[in-house]
Amino acid sequence: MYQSIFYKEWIKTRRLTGLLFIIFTGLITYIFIDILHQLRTSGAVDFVEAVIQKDIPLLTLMKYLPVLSGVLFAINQYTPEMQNKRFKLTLHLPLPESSIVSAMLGYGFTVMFILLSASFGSLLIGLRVLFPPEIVCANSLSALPWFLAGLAGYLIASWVSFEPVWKYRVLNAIPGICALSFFFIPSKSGGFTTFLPELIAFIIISFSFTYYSTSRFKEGAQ
Amino acid sequence: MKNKNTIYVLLLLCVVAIGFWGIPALVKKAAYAQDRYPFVYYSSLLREFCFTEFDGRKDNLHDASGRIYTREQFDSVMPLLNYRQLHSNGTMPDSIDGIAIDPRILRTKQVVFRYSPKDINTPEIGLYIMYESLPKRLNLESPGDVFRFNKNIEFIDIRTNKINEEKSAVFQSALEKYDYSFPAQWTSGNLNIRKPYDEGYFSLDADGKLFHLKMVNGKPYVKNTQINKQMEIAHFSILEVIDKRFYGFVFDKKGQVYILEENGGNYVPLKLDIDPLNLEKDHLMVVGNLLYWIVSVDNETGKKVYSLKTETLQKADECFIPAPENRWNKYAQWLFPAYLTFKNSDSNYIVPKIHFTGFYAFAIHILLLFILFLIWKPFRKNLIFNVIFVLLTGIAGAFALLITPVGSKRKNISHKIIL
Repeated sequence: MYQSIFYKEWIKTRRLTGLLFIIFTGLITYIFIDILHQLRTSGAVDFVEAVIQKDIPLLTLMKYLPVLSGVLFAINQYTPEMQNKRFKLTLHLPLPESSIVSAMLGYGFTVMFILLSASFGSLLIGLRVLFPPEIVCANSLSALPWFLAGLAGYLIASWVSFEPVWKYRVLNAIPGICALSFFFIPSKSGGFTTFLPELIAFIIISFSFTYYSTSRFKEGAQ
Repeated sequence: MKNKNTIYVLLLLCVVAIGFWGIPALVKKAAYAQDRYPFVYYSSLLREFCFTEFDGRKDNLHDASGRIYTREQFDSVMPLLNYRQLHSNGTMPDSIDGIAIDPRILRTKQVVFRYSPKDINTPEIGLYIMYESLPKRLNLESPGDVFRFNKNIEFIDIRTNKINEEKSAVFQSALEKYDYSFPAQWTSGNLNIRKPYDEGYFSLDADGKLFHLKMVNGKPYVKNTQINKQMEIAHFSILEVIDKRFYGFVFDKKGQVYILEENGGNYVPLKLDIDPLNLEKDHLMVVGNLLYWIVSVDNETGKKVYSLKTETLQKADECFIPAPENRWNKYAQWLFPAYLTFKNSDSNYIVPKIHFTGFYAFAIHILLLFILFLIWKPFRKNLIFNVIFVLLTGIAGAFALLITPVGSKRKNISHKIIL
């Protein structure tokens, strides 16, 4: 049964997954072309000195892509279910409601996690070839909240998508957007180290929100 | 679904936390005005403080005795601040207190320094640039490598991204020869290439000893300042002043501030005659001239200004300006019993912090309860829970209840179970 649910989710999201893979690969490639261009034109010494002296982030082009991907993925995954209340059919499967939601959320979260961690890992490996570990570490600490925002964006968009009443969808989106803004607070490289545990805790908690929306859906809230 | 009530409570708490940040942040943006202290300078002629107060249109210029000045008069009573203007007018005095005034000397004796708690509460990349302290040309030149200084010292060639083993070994052995104990606790230097000259770095070793490290003619220069015998060093800020009188500002763990002078090859701390600082809260600013240093220390309570004699750094005068009443503080205590922030002026780290403002806001909470009771019917369904929740959390809690749906119209859930 779980295999069937995963297959259903894959059918819905395969095009977007492929598209996101292409966009992430393209942007990562562009980031490195841009860095190499700056190393050549500005000179490696001046460029690295500027990065150290002015704390210049190297991955800002990647800033909003993870969160947009997460939100888009959730919308793509759940909009077909919510149109004409088709999700009712899914809930009629011979599985507990929470297991069905867990399977759907688990699928989406895993795909996003693989996509984001592979992108993050590629960026770090690429930076490590060009720069000392301290610069790689500073940039990874700057970019990590943006990648976590991708996971949080997926979970928040799932919560909002499953909410059966349009009025509350809009109202729920308000704290959702506020919460996502926490991942983008301007700071120096490494400024987020003291805040990462709270952000990760929020992601874990926000897993549960979708269960609340689906429960309201099952009860026929309108 | 199991645990539905737990999830509902979690959801409410998350929305309340967001409301504790978002609603006060909006109000603060609308109401906040930065504390504007008057500009304070010490007149070397009057030997008292002079104040420039800004009221939006015309500056109010007066001294501590209450005498009001025109702009031209004000320039004249503070010749060491306005010497360029006075020179241009041809009204600059030839001497003050028997000391001949020469614009070139005035310029070399100028000191400007700021300290903020952010200087010690900040993440660092951990890479530094070692300039040649005796460059062959006038300007400093980029060395082409950077160094890390923690468990040991390692120079990394920027072009190859590989460790320069030879240079690293030379500096490492120099540090070990002078008894530097690794790992370094911190290292302070000025990475800006546009400085008048280079004094390298000051680093606190694992035993609390402060070392001076720089590169002279391509070779390491290492010296133990020995000042740890006189104080417990908390922080050092290097400052390359034009007259090379001192290396920078030393802060000890008691909050005392010193400058670190050189005397016959020895490093000598000279204490600023001011009250000890709270390094986690107080902001310091030093503006020095040929005769006096004006030192301002400000925090939540206000701003204390000292004038110190440049030569001895002994206090000549002091004044205190209480913090102006801030509109935001006034509103916050009535609107929010507590609010959440993530950034503050004392740290470059993002740290969630709850600020408690007092109990006045509970009056607003009671009013809010009456309004919700009268105009919002769902509020009455689960009255006891909602009353307690809004009473404790106020506007943020009401916001959370309003936007978080409780159940369906067909079948109301959870309220009773929650209670």
